[in-house]
Amino acid sequence: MSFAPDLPTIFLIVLAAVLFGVAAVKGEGRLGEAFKATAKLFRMVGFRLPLALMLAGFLSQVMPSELVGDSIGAETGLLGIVIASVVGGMVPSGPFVSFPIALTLFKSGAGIPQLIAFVSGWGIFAAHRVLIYEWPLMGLRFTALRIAASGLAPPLTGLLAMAILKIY
Amino acid sequence: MAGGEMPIRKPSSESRSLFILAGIVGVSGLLCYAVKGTDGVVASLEGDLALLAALVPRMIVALAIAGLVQVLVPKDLVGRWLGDASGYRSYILATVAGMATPGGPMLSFPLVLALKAAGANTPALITYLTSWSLLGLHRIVMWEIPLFGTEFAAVRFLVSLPMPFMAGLITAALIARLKLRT
Repeated sequence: MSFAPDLPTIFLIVLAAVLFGVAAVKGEGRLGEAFKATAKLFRMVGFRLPLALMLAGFLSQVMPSELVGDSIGAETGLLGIVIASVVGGMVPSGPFVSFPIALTLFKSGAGIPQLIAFVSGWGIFAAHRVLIYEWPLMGLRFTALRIAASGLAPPLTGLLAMAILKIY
Repeated sequence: MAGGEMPIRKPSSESRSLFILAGIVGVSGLLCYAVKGTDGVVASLEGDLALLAALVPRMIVALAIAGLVQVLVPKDLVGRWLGDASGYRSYILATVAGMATPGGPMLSFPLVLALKAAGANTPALITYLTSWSLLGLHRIVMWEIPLFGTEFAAVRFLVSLPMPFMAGLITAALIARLKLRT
């Protein structure tokens, strides 16, 4: 993976340039203040990011992703939903990995509510995202608070889906 | 956000959090060594370097934005829409913004950091992140509908819709109950 500017990156660069321009035009030492604020953030992130990357790398090496398919079939009910929520959260990558994995699970017999829990679990817990971005940028307390507040969401989405599909 | 200071934790909790992280890294490294041996550890570290090279330029841009927003955006504006006094309006706004934010964590987390620095409160930010991670429209259009079809996507969207509000309300309740400073 090299630094190939994708669309979000280009958007970020343009946004930074515009903000820089506004700060320069407004003057009154705003650029200096912004620089100080940025430097402060750098000191914080600079230590955390390499550590977080190492953790994400090690975890992706030991993930047993093949074992999962059987354990989240349509007949597995609540247990399958809980397993799918947790396993979804351990997928150490972006949607280009998680959705193809979900499709493979679907083809090997995973139930719809379980799959929905899997996708939600990936969205909420996404280990790599927490390790690479959330913890370094937002800190441990924010991360813990977010996971506590939304941790029930993946199994809940699975249960709600199960209820809806029963009515149909 | 007492005193309008940056949302950076005190050095003590900052370094404690670093020590915890370093400890977990050590344990996961040993686990990786136990399962995959030296080759696994080396491959993993090589992957990390490549990822770091890709991330650092983006981080520089993202952190510059966070610093600039902090200086430029009036605190009372963000505060009025996403702050402590904005009530339920902030949950709705945060949910819609989360759905509409394209791209990966590289875009959404710097945005959250900037909004926090500009005076948004934690429940609104967690509502935003929950909405972005469950209801992000770009992901539904690019991945979910092509792979699983409209019906699956519609059911998942429907059952996920209450979750950002729930997460925001739980966050507010946790902060109040535990008397957290955020």
